[in-house]
Amino acid sequence: MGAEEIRRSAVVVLVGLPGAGKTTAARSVQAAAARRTPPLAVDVVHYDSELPEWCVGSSLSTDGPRPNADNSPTRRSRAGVPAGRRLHRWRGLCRTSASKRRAAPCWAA
Amino acid sequence: MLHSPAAPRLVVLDDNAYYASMRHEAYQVARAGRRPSGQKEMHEDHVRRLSKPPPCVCLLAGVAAGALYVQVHLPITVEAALARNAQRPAAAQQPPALIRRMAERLDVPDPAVRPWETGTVTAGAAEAQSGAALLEAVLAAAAADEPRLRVWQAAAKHRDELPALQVASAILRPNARSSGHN
Repeated sequence: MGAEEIRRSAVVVLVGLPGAGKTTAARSVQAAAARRTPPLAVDVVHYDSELPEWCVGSSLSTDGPRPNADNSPTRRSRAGVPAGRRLHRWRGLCRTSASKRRAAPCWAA
Repeated sequence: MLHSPAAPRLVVLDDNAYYASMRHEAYQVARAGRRPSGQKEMHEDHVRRLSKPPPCVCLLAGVAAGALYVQVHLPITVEAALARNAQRPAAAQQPPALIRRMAERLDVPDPAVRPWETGTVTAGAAEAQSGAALLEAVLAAAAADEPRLRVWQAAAKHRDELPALQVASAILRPNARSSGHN
């Protein structure tokens, strides 16, 4: 089994909406790789980019205000910040509570 | 089963990667073993402060420079995504509005626009569940990426050498700038 061989490691990025089958695909590829002769190692990095990264983590609270640090175009676009609004972080804390972070990414007018 | 540390391996990023920029960061990590230099400070700052490292940092743990790059696109309609989301346990569900917004903003892999996405495999639901077929498609795409990696490495080497060559050229021709207009 496994006609194709690679001589170098490869990064494999899964692209798709939630529910597209990314995790299933990752696991099935991992299982199939383990069945090869010789087996091929597969590391799976699970990530959740729809959760704004800078809303995660409690160690931010001692950093003090960073009014502009997280308003780069890349981060704004990643968080889906509407035009005319800016990401809000004061002393590293989101305005939204932890339970609402998914539903309400931390941007502010 | 033990794997040799030096043996080739696949590092799969199980993320939505709906913006092309997200995927390009992973591409840069695969090729150069690091994020683009302009983002280095932000990256380190990010890692230091946040408990959740960005996906590229996770990738860095498993990839050395000069890795191959493959994307697997799993297309799905918004309606199907919403239906599957509704079938998940409540704690694992995403807000429907987020899925709709992500669908609107999804940059579908397009090698014609972004040549670095040439190694894209499009997989349907059946292929996603059939690991062997998908694995072979991924490995074929990875093998086809070898020549592109060599081109990238040659270009990177040229970029690295260029500043030194420019300095050497300026030293060898100290009057080059003024002589052209006199």
